Amino acid sequence: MRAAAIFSDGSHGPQRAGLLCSALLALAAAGCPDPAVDAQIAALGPEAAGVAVGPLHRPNQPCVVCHQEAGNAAAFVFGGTVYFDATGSKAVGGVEVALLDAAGRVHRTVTNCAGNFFVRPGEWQPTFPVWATLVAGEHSIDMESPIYREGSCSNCHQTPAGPRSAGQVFLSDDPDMPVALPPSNCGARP
Amino acid sequence: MKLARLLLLLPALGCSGQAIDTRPEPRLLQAPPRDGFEPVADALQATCGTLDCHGQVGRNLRLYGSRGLRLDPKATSAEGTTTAAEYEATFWSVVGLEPEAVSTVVRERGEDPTRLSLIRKARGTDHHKGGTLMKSGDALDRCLTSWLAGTVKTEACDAISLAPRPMLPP
Repeated sequence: MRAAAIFSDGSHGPQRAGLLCSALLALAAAGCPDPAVDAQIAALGPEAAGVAVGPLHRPNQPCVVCHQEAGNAAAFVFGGTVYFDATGSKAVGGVEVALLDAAGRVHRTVTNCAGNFFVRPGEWQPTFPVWATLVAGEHSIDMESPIYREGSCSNCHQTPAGPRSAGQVFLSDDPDMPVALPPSNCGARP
Repeated sequence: MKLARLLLLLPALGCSGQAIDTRPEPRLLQAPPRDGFEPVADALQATCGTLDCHGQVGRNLRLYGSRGLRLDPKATSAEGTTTAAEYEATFWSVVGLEPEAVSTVVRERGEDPTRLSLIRKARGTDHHKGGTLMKSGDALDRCLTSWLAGTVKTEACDAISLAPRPMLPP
């Protein structure tokens, strides 16, 4: 009403007020940018050459930085990348990621060709803490400590391991016990 | 008048040849026992000190441990055991969070530990991004409050840190 009074100049006043209100509503619906999140996204750098934006991109980057409500992509509850061992660069597709929450519910997903996996909010809403296990055939490996709130594996599992990192997520920690790599279905959505 | 005041002050300043220490007498704050803190630290590490929570340098309450934040830059969060220096650092981090309040609670033998944000946040009565981690009287609560009261209930602390990992259902 106040807008109508400011712009009121006869027949055009109410139309201008309507346009102003619509613009304000659109801005509100778009949400305000979060400069801290924007800075984190920018710090991740550009996409790798030859890799399209999608499930195969940005292995071992903190997925939820972008894939959150304040980010620039569809939200994830969890996202990460699985490698064959603790120090190598070979990511592994076809590995089952089993997540057990505090309510005893289990969600399972499978890594894709890039070793990536992700869980969407519509698929699962866990009660924290959450315990993670990787399964490949007869072989399985448990995460030693639970996840209390972080959705991006690589926020804690940075490469290399250090005083603030457990190192990359890996399937095999025993070089004398080779693990048969699971068949992967490259190109399929996990 | 100013000269009179100066004259009164002069003997105090000059007779003994020593400067007066006008700093207030430091108050001695009381801390919970350092002896026997290790089980408490282990329980805190398991429930609060993971890398995604208080195992981060950016937290006011910073907890160290073998599967979280390490003190030695050469250590990793993937191996080893919690060191004596890390137990020490965690102790002072917890005590230093609200030192006066901790001192009061310890002096009163653990009476009303909810005067500490450590307890209120873990119990969920204060807003806590990590949510509710304990309820009054459960194992973690007894572990922390017994430490504040002066005698650690080790079995309560061990029930947390030595709890078996939940297994995936078949």
